[in-house]
Amino acid sequence: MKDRVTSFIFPALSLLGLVALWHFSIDLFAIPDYLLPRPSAVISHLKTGYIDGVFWPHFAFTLQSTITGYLLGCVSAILVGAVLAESRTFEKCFYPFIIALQSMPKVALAPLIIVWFGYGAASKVVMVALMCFFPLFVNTVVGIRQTDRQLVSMMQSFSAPASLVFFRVKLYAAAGHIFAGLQISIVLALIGAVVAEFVASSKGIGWLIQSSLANFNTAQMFAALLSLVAIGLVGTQTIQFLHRRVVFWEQAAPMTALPE
Amino acid sequence: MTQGRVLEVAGLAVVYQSNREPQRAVENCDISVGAGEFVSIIGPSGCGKSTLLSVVAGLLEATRGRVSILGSEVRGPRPEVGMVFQRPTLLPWMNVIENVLIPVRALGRNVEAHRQQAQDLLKLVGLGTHARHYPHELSGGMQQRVGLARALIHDPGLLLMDEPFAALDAMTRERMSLELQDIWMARRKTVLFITHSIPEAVFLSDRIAVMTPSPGRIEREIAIDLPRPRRVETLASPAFAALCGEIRETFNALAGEHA
Repeated sequence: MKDRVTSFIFPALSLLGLVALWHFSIDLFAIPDYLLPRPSAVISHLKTGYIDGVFWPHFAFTLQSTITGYLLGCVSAILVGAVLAESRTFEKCFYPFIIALQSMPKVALAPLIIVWFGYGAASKVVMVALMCFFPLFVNTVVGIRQTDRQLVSMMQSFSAPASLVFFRVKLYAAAGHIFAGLQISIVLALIGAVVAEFVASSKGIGWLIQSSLANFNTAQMFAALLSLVAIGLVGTQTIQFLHRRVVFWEQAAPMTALPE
Repeated sequence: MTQGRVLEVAGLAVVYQSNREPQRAVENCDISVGAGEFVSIIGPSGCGKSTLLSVVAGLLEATRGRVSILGSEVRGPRPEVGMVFQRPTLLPWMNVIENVLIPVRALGRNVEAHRQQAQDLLKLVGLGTHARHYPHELSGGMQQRVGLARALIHDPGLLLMDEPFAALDAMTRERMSLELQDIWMARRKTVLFITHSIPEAVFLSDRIAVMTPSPGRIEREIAIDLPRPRRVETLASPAFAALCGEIRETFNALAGEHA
């Protein structure tokens, strides 16, 4: 109990300290507003944004394309990963191309995706899906491949058909890896959404950041960035919670270092 | 085919293709096990005991020779076989009773119809109250008991046991031997048991086959005629010690030949 209280109070105290330091250093060093806004200015932007409601359409747009793209990317990554891990022929045909595509920075594809899928939500969804796909795909393949050989031969010794071995053994054995991939993909999904909005959009938190740049409204930029932090945090915490719940037989792996 | 023989292995050879030269793991191996008989194969580590068992289980193809179970040749895993492994190899995401029911599921039989039987088997192995536990909540000995119940659920004609107690501590191991004997006497299964422990083999078996290493083959068979049920006191009896001594001598003689 004491641990839980201090693990809440200590970060709150250090946050308070940082904000105070921020507040007072602006006057102390005479930092202009367009470089570093006052905390109060950021808070007032958050207030007009979320209480008066100016930010909501943007927030909803980004959230919606992120979630849709995330689900699309993750489901296809698990499906393609599972097929590839199980079929040598499929692997031989497609693995080289997948590796080639993986080694390309996906962010560089954003302009092309805008050309193909337009300025609306579709291009954002595709960009997010593309970002999510690779880490989860690789994790799914590795997870299925590293299934304990002895568990598989145990199943075979009892005449289990391959489908049963896959659905009752390999998929579960890969669950830890799959959840680690889902976790990495959350952050990548947000990057994808924001980048696509940077390139071409008339809505979204990414667009909000860009339009704040046009009139040097740094305070609004900060408020938009905080919104992204909130989405990212809720996303990763949710996945972590699900990870512990679903893969209850393993100690949940600590969050993996982020690629890209 | 000989009448009453559950398992028949004749002239078995298994050669592993490795990069350098073919490895002869088992050669000219003959053994047969009659109905209701408890036969142990004993031999040093790496003598091909597990290879032999994998072939009998239908997990590994024989290079030469014949293996037949209940009169028909083994070409793959068979429903008449139940196997207990060296490690418990339970699925960690399934609770105990679901793990016991794996062979039923694997054979495409009705799972619900076997649930009561699975519960009875768990009671038989002393885990009647642990059906809803998960493997990580059990000790090594308890996990191995689940493995035994699992190997019995589909009522196999032949029980294969690959050093099932090797990973357990000495105390648990002794108790498990006693329990296994009780279960065997209650169910009268045909058992092929693999071990490298001489006392364990003598305590449990009707007959012991001594295997020589590289390439593995059965060098000698010794009948164990100690009266059953054998008890803890049996372990201290002169007859028991004499049998252990005889097998140990056989081993030493063989080691001299192969050195």
